[in-house]
Amino acid sequence: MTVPKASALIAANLRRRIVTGDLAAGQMLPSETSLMAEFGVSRPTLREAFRILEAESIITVVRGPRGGARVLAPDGAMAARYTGTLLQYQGTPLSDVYRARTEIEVSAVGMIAAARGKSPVRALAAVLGDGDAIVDDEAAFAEYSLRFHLAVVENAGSTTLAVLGRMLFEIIDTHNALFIASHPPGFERPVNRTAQRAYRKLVNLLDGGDGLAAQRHWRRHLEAVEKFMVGQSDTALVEVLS
Amino acid sequence: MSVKAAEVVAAALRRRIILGELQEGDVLPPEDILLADLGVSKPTLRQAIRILESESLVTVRRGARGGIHVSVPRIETAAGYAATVLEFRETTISDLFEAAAALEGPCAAMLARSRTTGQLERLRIAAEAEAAMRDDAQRLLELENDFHRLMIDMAGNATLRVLCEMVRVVIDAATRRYLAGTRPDVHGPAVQAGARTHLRVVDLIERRDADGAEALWRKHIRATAAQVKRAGGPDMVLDLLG
Repeated sequence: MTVPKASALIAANLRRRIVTGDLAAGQMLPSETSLMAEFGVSRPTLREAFRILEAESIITVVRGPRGGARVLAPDGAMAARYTGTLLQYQGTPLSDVYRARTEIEVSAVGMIAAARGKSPVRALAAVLGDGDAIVDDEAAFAEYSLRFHLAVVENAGSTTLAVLGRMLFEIIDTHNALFIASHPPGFERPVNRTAQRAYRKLVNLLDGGDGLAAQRHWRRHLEAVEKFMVGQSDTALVEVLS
Repeated sequence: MSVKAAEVVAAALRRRIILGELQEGDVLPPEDILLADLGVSKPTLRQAIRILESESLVTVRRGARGGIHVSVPRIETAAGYAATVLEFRETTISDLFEAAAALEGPCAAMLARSRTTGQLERLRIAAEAEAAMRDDAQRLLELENDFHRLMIDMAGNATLRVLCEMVRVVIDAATRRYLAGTRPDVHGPAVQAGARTHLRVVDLIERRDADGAEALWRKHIRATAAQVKRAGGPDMVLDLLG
């Protein structure tokens, strides 16, 4: 058995204080001198621990006389970024990401339909109202559309699913922005109208309690989105993101 | 130093890692050679390396075997990032199993639709190996967790595979803890029931019954969640991994 290095143990200790909220986001870590005394380690070992936490994006080290280590909220951005790089490295095609998104959202729709109360459906309906006025504004509609899809996974009743879904949406959102930029203005307008109708229908089906029809409808919509966004010429993710 | 230039340099190096031109353990050329190659200033290069370091794609080591070492993206690292976010979001173990059902259910359905004769054969061999291991709960649990991963792999969606693995690493810990914390007369029948369910899902996949396989798989994961919950033990991901 290998003995973990002192720096890794210190990093684990500080990580735990951050995830439990003992050290809140925005707060400064205690000074290097006091942490060195607390853990009984040298400055280089402590700094190595800082580098581990910095690489994980849960602290940021500000250099200089008024510097120090500030706590960041582990908000998932780093996890999403790394996952995007991993998928690129594995040679994942863009269509694979869209298909995974479809499966996750269709599952989420089933969970919303099976929920006891109506509050998840009401939360979706609340997002829906913002879309009508902006169907012709591609950038604004893309941002709204992302919010609607996020609302689907965030109201399914599993924080884990929401965290993981958000990772995929970051990739899809990046692709969407490039897609808009590489097509003439107005190219997405007709599909935005179709999308807005599809969102409304989803809410109506869920509101009427027909979970299976809602899932079928949402799968059809997402498959059509994939076809439009990915098309016949399926590229590797790396060509989209890097 | 231009931040933008540093990002361009980081993106170029990142792309070389993603494309496999730079491999695990490779050491980047010495600084003066890199500077000449890339035609940028020293602060820009150092900033670019810091960006890649913060993304865990390189590690900078000092001393005799020092230098900038390449670390290719790994699923374990991605899962570690995800676990930190789940801990910070105060995710419960039950919540995690809900996400597993939502992600792995579709994998069972996809596999039922697309399975080849060879895949079916491998699945059956794996399920039958479990049946043969019924008296060794520890080993049986390992085989059962392997079976989940085999199905996820065979479903053929690389993105879902990465997301499932993020959940699976925590489930591994939860089920190991369950085994250690319960008496054999409690966990013995439970893991044996799991092995029987695995045989049943193979039958459904053989018949290409996608809906049946998905429904059974979701039910199976929820049943495991219920057993783990009944046995007590930690309720939060944080207490499990921390």
